[in-house]
Amino acid sequence: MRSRGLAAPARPTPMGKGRTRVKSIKLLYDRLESLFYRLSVIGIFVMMVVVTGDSVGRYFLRSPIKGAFELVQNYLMVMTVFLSISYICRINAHIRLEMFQKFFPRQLKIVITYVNTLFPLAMFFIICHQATIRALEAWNNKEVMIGVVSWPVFWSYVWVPLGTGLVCVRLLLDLIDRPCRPTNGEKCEKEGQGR
Amino acid sequence: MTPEVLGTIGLLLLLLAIGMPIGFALGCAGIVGLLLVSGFPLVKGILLTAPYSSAASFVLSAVPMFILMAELASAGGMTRDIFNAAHKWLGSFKGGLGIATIMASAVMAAVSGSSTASAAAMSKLAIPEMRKYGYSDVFSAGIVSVAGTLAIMIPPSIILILYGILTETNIAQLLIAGIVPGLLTAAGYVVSVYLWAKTSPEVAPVISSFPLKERITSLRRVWPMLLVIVGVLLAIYTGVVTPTEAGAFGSFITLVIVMLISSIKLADIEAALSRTAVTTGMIFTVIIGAMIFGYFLTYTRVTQGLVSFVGSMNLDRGLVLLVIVLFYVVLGMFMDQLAILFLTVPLTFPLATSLGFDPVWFGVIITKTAEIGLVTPPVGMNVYVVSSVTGVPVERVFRGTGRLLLVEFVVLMLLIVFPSLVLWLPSRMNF
Repeated sequence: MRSRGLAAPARPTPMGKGRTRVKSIKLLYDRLESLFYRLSVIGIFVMMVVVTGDSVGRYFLRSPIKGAFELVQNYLMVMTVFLSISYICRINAHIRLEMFQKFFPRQLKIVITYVNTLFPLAMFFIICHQATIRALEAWNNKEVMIGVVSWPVFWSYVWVPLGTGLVCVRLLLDLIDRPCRPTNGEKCEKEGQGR
Repeated sequence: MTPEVLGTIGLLLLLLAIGMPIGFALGCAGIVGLLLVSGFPLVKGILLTAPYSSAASFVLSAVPMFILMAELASAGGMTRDIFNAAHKWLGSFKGGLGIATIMASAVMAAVSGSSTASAAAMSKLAIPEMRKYGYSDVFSAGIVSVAGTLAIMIPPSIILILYGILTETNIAQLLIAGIVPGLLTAAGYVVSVYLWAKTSPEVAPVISSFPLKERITSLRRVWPMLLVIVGVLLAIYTGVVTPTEAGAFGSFITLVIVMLISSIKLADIEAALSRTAVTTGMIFTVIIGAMIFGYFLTYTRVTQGLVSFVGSMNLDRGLVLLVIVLFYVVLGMFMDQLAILFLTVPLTFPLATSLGFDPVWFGVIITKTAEIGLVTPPVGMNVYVVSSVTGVPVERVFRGTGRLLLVEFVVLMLLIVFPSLVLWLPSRMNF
């Protein structure tokens, strides 16, 4: 029978230390992710103000906001979408079918969690890689979009590698820290199971 | 179909079944399919442009903006005020609070494009009130679940906007086309609730009417929501805003009104914006995945193959439509409405239009089946939302929605048999 007395605290095992380190990295990463997510939220607010200001200005003052269309389409929309995906992964809010998981045995759930993490990780990695190349190309060539305002292309593309890169790190951290996390977001019954 | 195509579709179904997020599953299956049929260079090329171009769209900015409008209206207490007024005026009828819930949901639907948001908001307001007056949980939770679905049809409807973008159908016409079916459904619910309360008085005891003064006073707080609805409609019809810009305009005037008339805090506004960002991200993840899978479908010419195959069978177009509608109803029982839209419309839309069906009418029919799918077991999203907010067991909510589903099927049949119910209003508008 396990003693419930005043036993000396157990020394952390090397694995425990590693796990603590991962936890601290995750905590730091959560903050970074939240910061970018805030940018996404701000993007929505700015979009509302810019679109309204543009339409009202155009109709009543015959003076639309110059470049409003490009700003919304090429910057705010891209920023809003890509900077929120990783945060949505964290809170486990992506739309998915959950009706079959309850029938899967625990061991199969662990395999499924790996599949559900590794496949998207590969996809987001390729997207991130390709988008980085495109963004750097735009930066190096100082590309601009021809229009009423000469918008820099780099600042339109950069949200894609940034957002998908955040997703890649999020998926990697999930894989390292909680490989036993079932796909429907239930809590692990036992930390470390499935390693 | 080639083995590669069948294998890719099988992989997609497998990934969906094991619970991979729908957007990720669509993207992964699309990439594997493209790798099988063409190789890595094409995949790299598609992934260079597809994710970016899925998000970089001015037309799609209507999605976050209409979501924000509903979130702000809810955070500012507009929904609560509408329900209170409906309660005071209609509460004394048989099943009056149920009827009030339906009417309030219909008004809420005019600023909200999301049925789950509408059901969640109304669950918090209507069910405690109905419990207070002795209404049964089966009755009240069933009504809130089905009434929430009105948001998917009555404009602005996110599903109809996305259908318009996917199929390049006129979005303004689609939104206007949703009005008559939405109102018809609401009227059907009212009749059905009244008959239910009349035949089983124990589920909804009659409550005494409120004094006239109190009823009139309740109307004082209705005007903000009506102002938003009328303001947005006027702005569209006078040309101040395009239908795409209407969501941003509506959000802005909602924000101004709630800041002026209610004690909304900055934290409430932040929370509304935050919920909007999450919902937007969820929707666009599906859009990005669907775009990648769409490239696979286009490259392998699956759609054209299906259209040619059905065409070569010389089937009656009514029969084909019946099969499509049944297919959507069954799919709606198991899958999320957005997923159904993005997975199937690239296949069914060309088929339907090749048989001569009107694109606007077909969009409304698909939306109607999506509406049914929100309250049918086992995956009725609205039922789960109502259950989680109120604590009423899922099976009891399903029992309630089951009584009201007949209305949905009757309206669906009416829309199929009389397409003018859908097409008459858009035909009167100059778009």
